[in-house]
Amino acid sequence: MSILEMLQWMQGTGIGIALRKSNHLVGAAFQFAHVLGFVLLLASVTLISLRLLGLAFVKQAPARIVDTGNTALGIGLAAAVLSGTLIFLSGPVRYYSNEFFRIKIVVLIAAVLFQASLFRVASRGASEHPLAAKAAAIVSLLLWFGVGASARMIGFI
Amino acid sequence: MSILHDFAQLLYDSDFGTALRESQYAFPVVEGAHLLGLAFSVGLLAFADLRLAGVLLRDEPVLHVLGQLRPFILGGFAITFATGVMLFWAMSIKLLPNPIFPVKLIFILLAGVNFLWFEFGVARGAAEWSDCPVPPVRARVAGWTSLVLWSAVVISGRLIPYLG
Repeated sequence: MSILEMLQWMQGTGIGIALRKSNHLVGAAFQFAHVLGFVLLLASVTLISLRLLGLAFVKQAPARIVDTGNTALGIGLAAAVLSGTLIFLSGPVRYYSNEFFRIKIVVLIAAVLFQASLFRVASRGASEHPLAAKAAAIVSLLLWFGVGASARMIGFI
Repeated sequence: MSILHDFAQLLYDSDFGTALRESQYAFPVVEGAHLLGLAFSVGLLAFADLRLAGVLLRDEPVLHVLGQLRPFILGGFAITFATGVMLFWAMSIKLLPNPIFPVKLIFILLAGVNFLWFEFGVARGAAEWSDCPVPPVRARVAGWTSLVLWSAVVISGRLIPYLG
């Protein structure tokens, strides 16, 4: 099965059809959840990075801020991914044909993998290896803001 | 109404407004900066609000959390506000008749009033309860109010293209 056939199949499923036929304000409601979730996610990444970079909360143990940030990051990511999946299912073929959508998904996957692996290790060892934590914070910021920037471009194509 | 309309027309027809509106790259970049600036402004403010509400970072003194985040929140608002002005400059005539646009401005105004009430009222006695995991009712109300109002600002902003 080719990617296009798979997308067309998604488009023809009950949920795909229901989403496409729903009132456009239903779509707008998913957009609210998507934007608010993403703002929370980006703010969490920013908060954690500020601590790891030594720009804020330097008197607190890094783990403190990292733990709080990670909880909020998880909530934001869940809201953004869930609403994003529904938005995508309303027009899989249309979204997939958008170049910036494909870029966004690749950067998103890279960001999630990085956050769950190297960043996790580096942020836990921030007290012993502050330089590694700083590098991880910068990569994390670039990846997640990259997701946001490419996402914003989808609508301009 | 007509003065407002004339002013919007003046902005719309200006060189800067026209150039930004018709630029293939500058306009999306300004839109992008307006969105990403929210991470610092509204996003970091949400952490400050949730500390005030007694939800997050309860072990850290309220004044410390607010003080540490303040420069980044203010910097974020500077970006969001400056890019917002630029977007209005470029799109003024199209934004003016949009029913949700004034609603967004009203929410921003209310959030500003809430901020002033907090800054010059509630925060005055903050030294007494700064260390409390859960601040007094007035502070919690200010925190939740800010969170709700800024969320409403973001939501009404996202609605602009739907109702334009």
